Amino acid sequence: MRSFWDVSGSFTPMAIVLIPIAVAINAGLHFITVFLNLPIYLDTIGTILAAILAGPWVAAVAGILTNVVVGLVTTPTYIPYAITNAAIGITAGVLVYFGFYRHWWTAAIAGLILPLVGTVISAPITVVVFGGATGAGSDVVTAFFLASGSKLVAAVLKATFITALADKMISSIIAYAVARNIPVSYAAKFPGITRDHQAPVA
Amino acid sequence: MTVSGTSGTLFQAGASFVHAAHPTTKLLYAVVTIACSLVVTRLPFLAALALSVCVVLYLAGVWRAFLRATARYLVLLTFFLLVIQGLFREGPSAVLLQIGPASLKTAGVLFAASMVLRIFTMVGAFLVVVLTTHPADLVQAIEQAGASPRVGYLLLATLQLSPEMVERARRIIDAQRSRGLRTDGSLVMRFRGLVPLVGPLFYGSLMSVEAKAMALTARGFFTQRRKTWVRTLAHQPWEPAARIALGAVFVGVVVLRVLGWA
Repeated sequence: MRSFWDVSGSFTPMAIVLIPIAVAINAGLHFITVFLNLPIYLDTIGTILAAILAGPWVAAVAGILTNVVVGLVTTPTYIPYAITNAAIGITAGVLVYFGFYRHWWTAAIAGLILPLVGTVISAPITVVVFGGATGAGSDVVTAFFLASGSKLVAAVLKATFITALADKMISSIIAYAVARNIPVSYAAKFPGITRDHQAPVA
Repeated sequence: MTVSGTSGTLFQAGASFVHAAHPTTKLLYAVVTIACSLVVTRLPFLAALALSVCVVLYLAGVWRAFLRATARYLVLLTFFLLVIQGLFREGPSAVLLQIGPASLKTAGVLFAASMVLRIFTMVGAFLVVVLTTHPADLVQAIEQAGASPRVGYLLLATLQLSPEMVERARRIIDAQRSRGLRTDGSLVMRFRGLVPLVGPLFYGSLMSVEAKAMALTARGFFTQRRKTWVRTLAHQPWEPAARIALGAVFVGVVVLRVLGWA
């Protein structure tokens, strides 16, 4: 069994093929949430799943590609945030390593850690690359609240953050549930995973 | 995700000299232009760069596609940068415009303008490459320049699979609705709708991983030997000169900046 942290050993044929599929899963799930009109995105489940099956480096590449492809297909400004998604992939890998995806409630805790990392990495990118504005909806919120300084500010900012938290928590739990139902014979074909780091398999 | 054409990206077929150029020349153009936009600081130079990108987009015949892809975003960005920087930029500055209690400051507006021009230049130069180069050509050029074929596979496979997966999601939604799944109603109802939709998407796509890995291995994708290409990417006769010119422009811009003129 290869080490979880081994970079070049992570990219076996199965792992290489998994990456585009993980990215496509992100796109497919995002489509479903839009269709169901849900206030969450679920577009990191593929990345978390890649972390569970094949470790942090494969997940990081899946995260980067998610943004690069959205950048090439629709919105070029997503590309700088590839760094954020890479960090989320690596963090998910570390959380898998420490057994956070063995129970549904630890997976939920992992879901609390992921958006924190995301925010810490995204904020400087927004400031450095885009001078504080991204052209996204949250800018209106930022601008309005910089000005008003009312209690409403805190309320809406909180709401935004809670959405992000809920999104990553639900994503984490779904990724756990999926990984739990993957047969041992299938999961064993991926590199970097030892049984004791993975969700208990039914 | 919207898909245009058969390639899955924003690529627009065309017959311009930009389309005909070798992908590496176009990549060099994008890198030089983006680097220049980061090197220069003065507004006239930033405006000139942005204008040069407009000219290239026009000559390539892709400016409509460029606007379709970016106009909404660029307008929003300009507006928010003006508001955020114009109203809240720290430090003393002349007031450009007074609206009630809010004052639009000159320094902030100038900063916002240079930021918008810079972002426009970067997005535009990047889109010159994306809009005029078929993704397969781009990947082949990157591989011939020495990148691992795995990088090429990752990029192309992802571009192809993402729209496919959206299509698969659509089929799953149709199938489950025909079995009586409600996809409307209260928030709780809609959340419960996730379960029968998400499961098939995952397991269906995870099943295909192994088949694809075997297919690639059987075709010698993971061999260490040198590979050959079916198609050749041609260089235009003017390209060597264009590359030298691009290099010269970059050196010139750096010199101007060092001298403090740009």
